[in-house]
Amino acid sequence: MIKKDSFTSCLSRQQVIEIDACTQCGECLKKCPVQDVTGDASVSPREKIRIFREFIKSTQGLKGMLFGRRRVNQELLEEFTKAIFECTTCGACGEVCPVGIYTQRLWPMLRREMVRRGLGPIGPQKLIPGFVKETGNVYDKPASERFSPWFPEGVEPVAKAKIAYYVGCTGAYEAHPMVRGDALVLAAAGEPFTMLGAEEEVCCGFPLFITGQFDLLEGLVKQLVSAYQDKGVETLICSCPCCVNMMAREWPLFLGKELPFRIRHMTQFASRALAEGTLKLKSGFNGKVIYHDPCYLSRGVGVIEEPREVLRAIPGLKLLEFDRNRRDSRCCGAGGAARKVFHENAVAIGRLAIDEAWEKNADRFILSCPACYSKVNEAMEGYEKQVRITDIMELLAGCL
Amino acid sequence: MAILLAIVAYAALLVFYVGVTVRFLIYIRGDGSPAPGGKQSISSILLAILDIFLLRRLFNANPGIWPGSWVFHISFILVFLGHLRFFFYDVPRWMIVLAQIKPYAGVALIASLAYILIYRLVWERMKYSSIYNLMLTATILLLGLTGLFLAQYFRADITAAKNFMMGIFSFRIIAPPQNWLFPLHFLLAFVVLAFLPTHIFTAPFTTIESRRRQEETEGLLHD
Repeated sequence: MIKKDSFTSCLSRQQVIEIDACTQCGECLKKCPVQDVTGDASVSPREKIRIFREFIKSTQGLKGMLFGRRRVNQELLEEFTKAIFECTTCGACGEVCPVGIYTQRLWPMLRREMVRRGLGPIGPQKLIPGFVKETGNVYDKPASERFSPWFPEGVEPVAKAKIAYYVGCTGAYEAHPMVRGDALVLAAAGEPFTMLGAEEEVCCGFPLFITGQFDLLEGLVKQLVSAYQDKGVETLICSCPCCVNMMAREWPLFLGKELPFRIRHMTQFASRALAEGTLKLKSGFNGKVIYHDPCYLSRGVGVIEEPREVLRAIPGLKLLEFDRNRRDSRCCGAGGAARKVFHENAVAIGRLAIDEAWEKNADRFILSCPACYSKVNEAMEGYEKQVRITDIMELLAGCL
Repeated sequence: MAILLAIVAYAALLVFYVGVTVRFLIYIRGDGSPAPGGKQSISSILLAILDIFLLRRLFNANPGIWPGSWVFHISFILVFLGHLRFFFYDVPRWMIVLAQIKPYAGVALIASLAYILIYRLVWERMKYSSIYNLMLTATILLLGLTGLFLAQYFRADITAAKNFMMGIFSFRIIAPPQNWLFPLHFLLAFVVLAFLPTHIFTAPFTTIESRRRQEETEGLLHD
């Protein structure tokens, strides 16, 4: 039951405690990508928590009790809404937080509160529910084009199998080399896999969740889980870290029970197939590559070593690391559905990663996330420091 | 003077108790969102306790400020416990021991706060510090300094101080010790109590939860 005045209705008990637990130490500012490119402390994690705490105090705290519930300043609410939606939700702030606040989950819930108050989401984010309802994807593209432009010839998913491959909207419409690589690697491993039809494979719900628009979520989750269950799926594989995060963390909550199958990232499948010898490489790659840990893969679900195992298995390849890697990785600018609204921030954040890849003389900038792939490619456009961007499965498929 | 100090003490105690109660009510009412949760292993809880005791997450985030912060937290607890003898007629042995440790803890408290302030102001050039944090640090530093001066240079009559404190808590207000520094130290203590950051109660729970989450994350996509 959501209470009208309450600022804590959308939060779990733990999250209310987390908001109180912030010591305002400012360590998060050192890792915030939006801070890096804007220098605007008002959009810092610490400031967002401080302002939200004030909202709670003025309505439900001692001040509110003694002097009556005050009307929260509308201008401050609007500023807060902008700040909360400008965030890339990369979770680097939570990773470095000295008390361990789970910011990667807190920000979507604060966004949800602003959506409930009619203040969010911002700009094109408002269109997401309509697009998902109409087309099943967040890009308002026809479902018929979900697989056809990129799906490799000769690869034949079966009707029912223990393994299923979920493509995801961003991969299907914005990162073709990546999802093509996925399909080729899956086929080469020799294990039969199944897929839903282009009309059936709808959005996983992540863009709705991350923008605080929860209305369609339960329906989407139940529809997808039921469809995979009908196919006898035991393992659902996906290469999009955002989808994987949504499936592993949020689907059980919206479904109301444990998932009837396991979720795995594509790099986990490839790493295991390479180790077991079911996936054999015919060629290698002679060059230096630098691997970027996607926020929702490393910090989100803890898939950190498998992408590196895949890369190390490629003959001739020399793996470089970003200064900030693994759970400490830097955001590429694509996260939090902010890239479509705060495009300049996203490009500037992406270029910070490009700068480092370029300075380290990497031949390829390796990604394993379609949102990163799409945004870093945009950031590369017209930039003087050019490094070729390649998805990890695109690279691996090239060695088959 | 006694009445004024008593009013400040009662007001600060009221703000503290009511504030904590209201926050507790807010915590228990906030349950609108589906939230992940699950069991936590004993080893994870033990590691979380170590995290809290050693401020491990702060060490990882900022090893430069960690020594100051760790010494501050430990010495603050020791100084606080060392003051307990002012509130009991029959002082147990362990309180006497803590009271003997208190002067050393007090020096450590002052040194650690000075270190934190210098680190924040000079080394980090205030880039990441909040005004609230700096004000609180400065107030506790002043509290520590007045306490040190009271103990070492401008000694107050300890028996009078104890009687005054006992009077406050039994609502029988008597005159404070004749010492110009005592009222300042007393007022600062209650200002700190009124503005005591509630993270001292909630941060440990958050740290324990972060360990549970870490354990959960490791098992999300791995067998």
